[in-house]
Amino acid sequence: MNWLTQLLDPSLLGTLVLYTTPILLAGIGAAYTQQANILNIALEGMMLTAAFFAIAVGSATQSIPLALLAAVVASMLMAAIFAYVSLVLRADVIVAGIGINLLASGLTVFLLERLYNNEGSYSPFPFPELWSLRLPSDWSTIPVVNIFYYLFNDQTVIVFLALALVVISHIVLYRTKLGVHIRATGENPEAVQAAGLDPTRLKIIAVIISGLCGGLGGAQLAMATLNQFVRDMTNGVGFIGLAAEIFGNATPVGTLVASTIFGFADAVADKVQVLTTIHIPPQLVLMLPYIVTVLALTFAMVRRRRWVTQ
Amino acid sequence: MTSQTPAADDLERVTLQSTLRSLGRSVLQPVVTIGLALLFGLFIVILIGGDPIAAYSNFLFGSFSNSVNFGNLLAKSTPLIITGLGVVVAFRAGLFNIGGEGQMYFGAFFGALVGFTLTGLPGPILILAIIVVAAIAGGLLSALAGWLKAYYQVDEVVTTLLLNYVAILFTEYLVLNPFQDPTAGGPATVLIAPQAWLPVIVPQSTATVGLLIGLVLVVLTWFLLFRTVWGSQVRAVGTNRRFAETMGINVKRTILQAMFVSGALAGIGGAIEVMGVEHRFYQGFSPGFGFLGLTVALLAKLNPWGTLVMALFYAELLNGAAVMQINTSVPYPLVNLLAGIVVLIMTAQIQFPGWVRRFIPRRVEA
Repeated sequence: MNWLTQLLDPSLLGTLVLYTTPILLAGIGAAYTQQANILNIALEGMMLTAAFFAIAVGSATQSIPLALLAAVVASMLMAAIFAYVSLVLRADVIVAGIGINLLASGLTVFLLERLYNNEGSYSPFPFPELWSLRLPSDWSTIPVVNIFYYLFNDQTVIVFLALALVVISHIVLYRTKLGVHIRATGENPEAVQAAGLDPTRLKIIAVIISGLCGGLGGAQLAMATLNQFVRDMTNGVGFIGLAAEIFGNATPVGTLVASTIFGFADAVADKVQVLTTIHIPPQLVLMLPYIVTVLALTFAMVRRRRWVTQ
Repeated sequence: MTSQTPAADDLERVTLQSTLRSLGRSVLQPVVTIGLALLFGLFIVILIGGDPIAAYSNFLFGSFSNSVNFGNLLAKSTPLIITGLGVVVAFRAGLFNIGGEGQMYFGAFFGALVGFTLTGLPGPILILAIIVVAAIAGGLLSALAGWLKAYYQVDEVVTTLLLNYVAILFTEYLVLNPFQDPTAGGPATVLIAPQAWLPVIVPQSTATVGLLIGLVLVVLTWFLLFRTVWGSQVRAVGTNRRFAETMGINVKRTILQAMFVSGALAGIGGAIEVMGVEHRFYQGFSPGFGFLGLTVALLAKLNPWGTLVMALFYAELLNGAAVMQINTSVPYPLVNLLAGIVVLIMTAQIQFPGWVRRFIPRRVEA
């Protein structure tokens, strides 16, 4: 069982957090839209756009705040287009989401080619370092504390923002007027209208918030480790985040749990690839997160149906 | 069967006038959409400092400069027609099958597997066998999502999207490990038997009889959807699932079948590429045909004949963009950008100003 000890190396914890964060951010964003009864597949495109602008602006200005700002603003703009087309112009939400994803993919590849003469990727150097947590290395020897060390040492500021967003979103959705209104819009838009509120406006707000979350997720993807943009680099993270939110019943805490499961599948896939004692073809390993996600979704629906019929 | 939709009411009073009006209605929207998207593209060309006239004359007419370019247009349209038809079948049943790309990869790989294994078969039989196996491979992958949808209410949007990654990674594994051609130096299988190579119809281009197979599939899909009981059941499920149920239609089975047919078409699209272009399965053979098929089907308003027209048009754009990149400073991915814009505008219910609206016949709610 040599490979197992190699797999369960403490650094797996750090990898777990690294992979969970973008899924979690997409999931939280999707939770807001799901509560307003919108299946938001456009998160994938929002994250991709954010990742591109994080790298482009970061390299042009050598400034981390501006890179983060650009990522979030770009993603929120995509969210605004999505909201405008699907809610104001009443396009089908799924088709509009497909449109946003195609637009994001096309726009980033177009700009990649136009600005950097490269249709595959862009890795600028020098690039400013995204703020990350540095813990004293002797923490790794103290029991219990070392778990915290392995989880969060060297993690970016976005990781902690994401965790804060779980708490904040729980409060926003369940303890504020806005959250109550958004949830009511999803459950019964006619009642919301009768109460004198504008359901379309509330849905737009939910979509824009999802854009904010997606923007942070995209920035994390681009700047957490390598500071590079790769064509279509989101690779379904937005969809997995959406699945995490569905699995987590559209609650922030449930989404956190589901994201951790999917992030774990990613982290294991990542680790298995570098195992030296046993060789497993990387493609089969990389399929793991997607298969786990499909299985988890099925499991969630079966469980929910049982619960409803009882 | 009676139906409550206004579209059906219209159909009862079929006159020459109403036929012309409905034709005008269905053609107008795609034309307006394409016009707006192209205008947007023109704006981008000017914005990046390109020569708009040179760029657009290449973009729109580059495919017609000689017979080879025109042949390549026909070649590019073939997979778009077939994957577009796959989208038409699923969307008509109210199912968002966004997994066409992965289903196409499955069809292409397993079709190629037959092509280089059963080398003893005569040409026509081998071609037929490849098509059948590709259809089953693509169909089963799609039906998996259909099964989860019909029996467990798992959203097919998310599962088909995720299964794309599974299918592409799995074929990559197969082509790099058990089935790699060591002499190919890349992720490609050995060549399929030469008798299964589809004959070229325009000399020196990649246009093959695959296009004719595509045309046959257009007719077949149209017939299946609009001239058979099964097709009316599929469309009834797509219009109103609950109503279909009360009419006595087995909705679950129809969902499963529609997803299978949809994926089977995407799989055939992959096999035609294998038999027509590379003559082997090669990872990365598709520049996103599955997703482009989606754009084509939406532009065609989910009509099989419209899919043919829009696939030709879209192939022209893809081909023209390549010519444009060679001759001007405007990069090829402009066409990818326009794809997204086309999809967004196409489904948006745009309120035209009053003077425009006078020329548009009354809108029918979908």
